[in-house]
Amino acid sequence: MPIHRPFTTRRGFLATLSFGAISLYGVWESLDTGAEPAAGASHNGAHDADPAPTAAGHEGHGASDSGTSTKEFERLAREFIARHARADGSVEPLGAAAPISSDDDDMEHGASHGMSHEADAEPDGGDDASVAIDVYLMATQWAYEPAVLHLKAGQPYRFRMMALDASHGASIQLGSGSHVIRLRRGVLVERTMRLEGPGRYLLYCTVYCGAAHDRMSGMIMVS
Amino acid sequence: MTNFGARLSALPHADRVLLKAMIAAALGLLGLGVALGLMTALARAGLIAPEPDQGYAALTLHSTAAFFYWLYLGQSALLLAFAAADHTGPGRIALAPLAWFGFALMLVGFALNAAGTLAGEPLLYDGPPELATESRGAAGIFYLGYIALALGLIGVASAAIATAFAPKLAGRIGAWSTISFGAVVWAGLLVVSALAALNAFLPAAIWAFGGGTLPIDHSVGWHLLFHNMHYLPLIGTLLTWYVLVGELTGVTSLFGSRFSKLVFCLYLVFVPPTSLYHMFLEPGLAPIVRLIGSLLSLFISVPTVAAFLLLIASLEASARARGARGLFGWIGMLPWRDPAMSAIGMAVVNLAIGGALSFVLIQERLAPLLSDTFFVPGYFHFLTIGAVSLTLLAAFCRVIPALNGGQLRLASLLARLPYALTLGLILFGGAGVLAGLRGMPRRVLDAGYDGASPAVWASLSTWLGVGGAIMTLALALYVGTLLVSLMPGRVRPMPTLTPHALSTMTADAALSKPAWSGPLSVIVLVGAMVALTIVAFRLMQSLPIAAIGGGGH
Repeated sequence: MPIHRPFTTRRGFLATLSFGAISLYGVWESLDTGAEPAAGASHNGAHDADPAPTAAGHEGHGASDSGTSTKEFERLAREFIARHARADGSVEPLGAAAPISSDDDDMEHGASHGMSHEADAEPDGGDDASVAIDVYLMATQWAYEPAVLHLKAGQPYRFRMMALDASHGASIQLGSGSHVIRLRRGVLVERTMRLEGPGRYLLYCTVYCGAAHDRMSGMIMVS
Repeated sequence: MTNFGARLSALPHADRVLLKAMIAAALGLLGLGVALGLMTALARAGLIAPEPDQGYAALTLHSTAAFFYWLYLGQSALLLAFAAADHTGPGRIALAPLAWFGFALMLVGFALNAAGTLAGEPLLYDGPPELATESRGAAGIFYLGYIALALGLIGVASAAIATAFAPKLAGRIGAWSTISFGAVVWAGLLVVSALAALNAFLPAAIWAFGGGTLPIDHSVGWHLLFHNMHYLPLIGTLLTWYVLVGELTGVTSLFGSRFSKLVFCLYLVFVPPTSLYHMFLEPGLAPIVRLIGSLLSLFISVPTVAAFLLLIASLEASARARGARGLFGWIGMLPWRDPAMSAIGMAVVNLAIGGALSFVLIQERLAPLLSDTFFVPGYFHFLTIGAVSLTLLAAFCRVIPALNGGQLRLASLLARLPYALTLGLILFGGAGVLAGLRGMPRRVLDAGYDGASPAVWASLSTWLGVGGAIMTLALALYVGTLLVSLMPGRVRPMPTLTPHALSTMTADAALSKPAWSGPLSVIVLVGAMVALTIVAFRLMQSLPIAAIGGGGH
């Protein structure tokens, strides 16, 4: 005589229940349709500085990045620092070089855009919140250049970052949490972001980079 | 003595010597690993201040000893024990010279890892070649250590597979038991891990010794290895639970051997393709890849939850058939005074906590909040120490007396250690997860940044040190007690162990009883995953930083 099995001891029930965690997808969807998570949705452009450019770049945009090296990035970053340096050695970028385009969030777009753009751009005061101001950041063992940045609250900035010697982090501590950024050697990483409130935000390395890794930090002063 | 224990005792002397040697080496490396781990935790807490080179060398050897060598040697010993002692009749380890050679290679591997670390720049356990340009020779020695480990692991796993095949080929058995089948799958996955290690470190070794170019994609190979390293041991964990539950309670699966074998096979299907979430922060990873990675990762829990449900339902239904009352009355019928029982009980708790936390990390949009922070070691210590290591230790509490023919030393202490270890883990892992949510980086000795870091990082680092110290003490007592139990000359007669009598009912009688604990556990687990995910999203949305739509020109 067949026994009566409660559904809790049936194979089919156990097998189905094993997929229970898949239901988390519904939560992800509901969170995705809510308020835009600030850090998670930031523009993430990444361009390998060394390989040949992709065809997805902005044709006719001027100088190509073909073969752009860490040296080229370093040259541009030093020009940026020299142009915007303050007397105390910190940097306060004022020029606007990057009007925001809503359709310009493709990660593959940048292999041929704009490594020489900053050099061509003319400062316009940077007060227009619709225009992102370029910020160059070099990461090396064990320092950032510029080490101290002065930014304006509410102003969009396009961070153009590269690790020159080894992988590094360029993470920003924002009080109750951080915005973590990983940089790989020779890869240009772009993030267009706006810091909403005034404050002193720690810039720190989150990828182990050698003996003085825990000394590698900078500061972003937002006023 | 139980059946499994009796069969282990009946193994040839040489086989028992091999198993004891592997267990002793594994325990020794666990002891070394946790001592060095304590050093780094105390450095973080500000209680000691090692020189950076010393501190990062300690962190490197902590993770290589505890994460690689303890786990691989411990798994190897148990795998061979399961394969050799699963069947009635004369058991023995097949291809024993290969197993010995593999074991020796693994020990050589650790010696090379240690020598490379101490001779050059400490690279941490992932050993990025880009940090070794000034000390390529030492880095090459370090990479050779991992290659020796991988080759040794392939040797031991091959011997285990041959051991499982031997009684079939000799015609002594027909179909494999669930345990032999699971052991073969486990051995296969260990070979996968070994191949992942070769894939990650062979190009680096070639470069270090002057051949080829700097392997710029080393991090991809590492992430594949890391994923395999902390998820594939779960099949060994579940198989060990399966064996120990049978030993401790007499209960085996009520759902048939074929269903159990199918569940073990799920690891082959669901674990390897779910590694993408470790790479969500990599610059250049296409958004569609991140999205697919997130979706695939949702399936990572399927085999573990299935095996857990199978065991829990079998235990609960059997206990109810024996008169257990109430929702959780069956839990009280389990032999909690046995060191192996309390260890696997706490391993279940830790696996649930670590699993719930890991599901926060698999959401690609949360990567900029959590990846590369202390959230990562916060959650994976629950899996590697709280679940896998505790399960290996539970098994050794049974295997060592059987191999040595004597009693376990200080069994009452061992029965309590899992609770102390879990307490330490909750403090360490809890503080680590909270620190990670606040952005505190992993892999730093001093997170003070000359006073520029949030004050909460310092206070959470103190709790990391406290939790780490408790974990270390518990694990040191485990290691010491088990090593003493392994020593010859301190043997007392082994008592006859009677499995807890939950199994005297027929499977049909048990299956007529309801089993609610499994479904309730899944509901609680998924609820925790949902709550943690929402908390992380809300935290991320509250940060004073906003995304702008495009990169612009």
